[in-house]
Amino acid sequence: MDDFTRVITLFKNSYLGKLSTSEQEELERVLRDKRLKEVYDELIRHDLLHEGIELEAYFPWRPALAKFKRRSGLWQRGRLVAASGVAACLVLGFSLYLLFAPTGNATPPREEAVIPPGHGQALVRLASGEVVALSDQPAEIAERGGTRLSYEKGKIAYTPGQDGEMVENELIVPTGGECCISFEDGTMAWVNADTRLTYPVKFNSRERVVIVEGEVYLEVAPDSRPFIVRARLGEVIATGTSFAVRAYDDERLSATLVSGKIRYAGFDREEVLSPGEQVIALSSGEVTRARVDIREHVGWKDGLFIFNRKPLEEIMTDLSRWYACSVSYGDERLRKLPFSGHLKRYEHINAFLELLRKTGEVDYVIRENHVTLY
Amino acid sequence: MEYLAALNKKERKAWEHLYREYYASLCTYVYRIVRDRDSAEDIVQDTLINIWRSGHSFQEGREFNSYLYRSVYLNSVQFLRTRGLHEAHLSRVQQEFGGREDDLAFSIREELVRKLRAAIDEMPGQRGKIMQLALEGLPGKEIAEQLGITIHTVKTQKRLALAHLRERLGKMYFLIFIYFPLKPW
Repeated sequence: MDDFTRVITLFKNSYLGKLSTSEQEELERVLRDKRLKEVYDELIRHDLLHEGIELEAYFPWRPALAKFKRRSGLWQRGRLVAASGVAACLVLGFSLYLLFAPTGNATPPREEAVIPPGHGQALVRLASGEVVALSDQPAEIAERGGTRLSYEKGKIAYTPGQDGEMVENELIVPTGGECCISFEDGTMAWVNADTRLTYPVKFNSRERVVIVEGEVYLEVAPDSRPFIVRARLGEVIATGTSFAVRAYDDERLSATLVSGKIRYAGFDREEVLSPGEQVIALSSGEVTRARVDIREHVGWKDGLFIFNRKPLEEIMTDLSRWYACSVSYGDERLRKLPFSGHLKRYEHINAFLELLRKTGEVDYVIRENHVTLY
Repeated sequence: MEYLAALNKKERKAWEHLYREYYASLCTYVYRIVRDRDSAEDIVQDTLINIWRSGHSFQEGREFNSYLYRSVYLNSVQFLRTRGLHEAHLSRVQQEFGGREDDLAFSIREELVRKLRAAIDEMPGQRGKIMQLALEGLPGKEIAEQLGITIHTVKTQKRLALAHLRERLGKMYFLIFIYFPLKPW
């Protein structure tokens, strides 16, 4: 055994408290070398362990490996690059020009197609069945029963008429759209992209009920009548309060409470939430309540996407609704990669994708309204 | 030498292992020379890419080790030279770092750090995090608060983390890569 192996064995056994008497003596001899003594002391004080941990933070190898894979072609499984005699001498570091010439290793800047953010737009199905498209132009519509609907700059407001007739409207916000609505009782609703909301233009005297399929944030005006948000996996009942409901599909419903009090009812269960709490109901019937960072769940209403260790796939699902784009993955493993961050909702999707690219973990290509991540 | 054979054959796993084990250590080494974090990463990256492209064949572990450090060292010096660093500075750098990759204490140190890091890196998520916070000197109570777990969990996980570390090291983990490349990757 050579010095290198022997010294490491001694150090290791000492660190683990497993030195024999003869090894103890041998170690003492080794430690007469001042430089080895320094290294040994660092090991025993856990300095080397610290250093190992810090190194990881300063020079993360994962993004570096991702970059390497792209440049080397290692990403394509099994592909080998032929060895070349000329290249061999580059290795030793004599290939300086190639290494450090300005164009030598920089990835050429690429011009990417741009996908702009969503904006205020919606369709309203009136009681008559007629569908009105709302986007840039203000509009005034007289609904049955004297109720008036006015629209301007992404915001719908209902003014109740005298008549008590129960009339329902349906608001359809497409992908790439958003809309704000002010109900006749003063309740405000921010309706996110890819959402349908059904509601009476005038609530009845017992309860205020809206039906949601998608995502909505509500600031409920205080009133003696409960405000009920119905979704496929249950309902959320509030009086005067601010909360968000997300119920895009048959699989999952979540309600996040910002202030006041709400109650979730579904699957024969009831959960009462305090501010800062969220209830999640799954189609399996599983209902859980937990404390969450509410900004992550209601930030969209204030023009922010906030995510915290969220798998890329889930982030992209949200973004695809807002940017009205589709997404595919060149490498299935990317779907589960977690990311954290804050993003402005009114920027092009490219702003986000550029950040992804900078992490070195993921790159992207845009073709029309399709994003490929790889 | 199974590992080096796999590396020579450009097998994906072998190169992933190279990054996991060596990348951060090489970067730190280069950083000490060039004093710039981004440049350090570029130099290491370019060096590794060139090794890949060259198809250089490694015969034994020790040679591989010093070859890596030697290559990044030479590229670092050249980097400083193209930056127009004065020759006097250069010769000081050369005095301080030149040839150190063959120095016994240096290579032992690098090897220890690398193996400790790898052992930590292998720990399952929360355990590794607890270990990290504990080493940063955070008391158990604060770790529990920060991670939203009970103090009991912190204690259990800490004990498991240490056991894990010892087990890894105890199995000659330090040496696996260089001398006993059995199945570390």
